[in-house]
Amino acid sequence: MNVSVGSIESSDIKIVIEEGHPAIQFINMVPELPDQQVYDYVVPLLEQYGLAGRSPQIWFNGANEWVVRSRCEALAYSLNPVNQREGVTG
Amino acid sequence: MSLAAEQLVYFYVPGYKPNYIEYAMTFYPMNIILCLEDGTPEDKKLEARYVVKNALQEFTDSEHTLIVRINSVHTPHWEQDLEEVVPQRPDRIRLPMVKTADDLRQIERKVQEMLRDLGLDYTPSYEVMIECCEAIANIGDIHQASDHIYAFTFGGTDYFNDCVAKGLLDPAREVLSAKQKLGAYCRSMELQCFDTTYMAFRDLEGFREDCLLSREYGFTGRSVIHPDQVAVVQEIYGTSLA
Repeated sequence: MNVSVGSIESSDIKIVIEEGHPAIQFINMVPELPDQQVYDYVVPLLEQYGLAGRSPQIWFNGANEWVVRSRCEALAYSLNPVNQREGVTG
Repeated sequence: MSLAAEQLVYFYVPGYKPNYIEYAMTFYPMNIILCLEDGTPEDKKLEARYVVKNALQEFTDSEHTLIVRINSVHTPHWEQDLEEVVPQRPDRIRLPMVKTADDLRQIERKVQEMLRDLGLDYTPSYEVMIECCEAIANIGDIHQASDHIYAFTFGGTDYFNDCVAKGLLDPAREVLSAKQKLGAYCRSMELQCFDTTYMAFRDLEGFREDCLLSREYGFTGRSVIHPDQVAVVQEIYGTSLA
C-alpha cells in the first residue's frame, strides 16, 4: 500500500510510504537547519507512531512538532488495515 | 458602539493547511474557523481532521476563539470529524447544511454519546449554518431543537446552488430573500447571526456595501476569507444602526 500525507509547502512535512522502498529517505528543504538536527527531531516522532520502520520518504520544510504529529497520526490511521474507510493521498 | 473583532469576525482557515493555521494564529484575537468542510478538498479530509485536532491542542491557550466547521451530517465524514474534534473541546462547532431539526438532533445525540463515553465535562455550543431553502422553511423547528445554539450563520454559495438545483428563476434574489428572513428571525429572537463569506476579497468596496445591507437585514457579524476584509467587518458590524 502506497500512502502519502502532508505537503512540501512551508511549515509542513510530506511523508510518503511506498511498498518496496528500501530505507528511510530524508530531504531537508530548510537550508538554515543542519540535516542531522532535522533528522534527530523528526525520526523520534515517526518512531512514536510506528512509522520509522516503514522506510518513509520525507520532505521536511520547517514543520513544527504539532504538524509532524498530525501528519504522523493521519498516516498511522491510514496504514491501519482496520481503517480503510478513507484513503489518504498526497 | 464599537466592538472588537472577536465578537464580529469569523476567519475561515482551510483545515488541511497547517501554515495557514499558524499564520492565522498571529492575528489579533478573533474567531478562527478551522474548516474541515468546503475549505478542505475531498482527498484531504482525513489529513485535515488530524491537523485540526492537533491545532486545537497546540493553540489551546491562544487568545482566539477556535471554532471547527465539521462536514455536513449529509456526508460520510461528520461522525469521524466529531470523534477527533470534540475531545479537544473547541470553543464552538459550526454545523453546515443543517436542513431540519432532526439533522441537529442527530449531531447533538452523537456529541452527547461521546461526552458520556469519554466522561468529558464539556458542553459545546453550535453555530448552525442555513444553506438551503428547506432550512429557511424549518428555521423555527431547528432553533427549538437545541438549547446550545450560539448563532445562526448563512451559507450563500450553497443556498444559491440549492436554488439553481431547484430550478428557481432568480437564485440571486432568492439568496437575498433568505438572508432577510434569517436576519429578521434572529433579530426577533435576539440571536446572533453571521453572514456568508464574500469571495471577491479584492473588491473591498463591494464587500462594504454588502456588509451594510447585511447589517440592515439583522446580521451581527460576518465570516471572512482574507485579512483585508477584517477591518471592514469591524467597522460595519461594530457600529449599531442609528
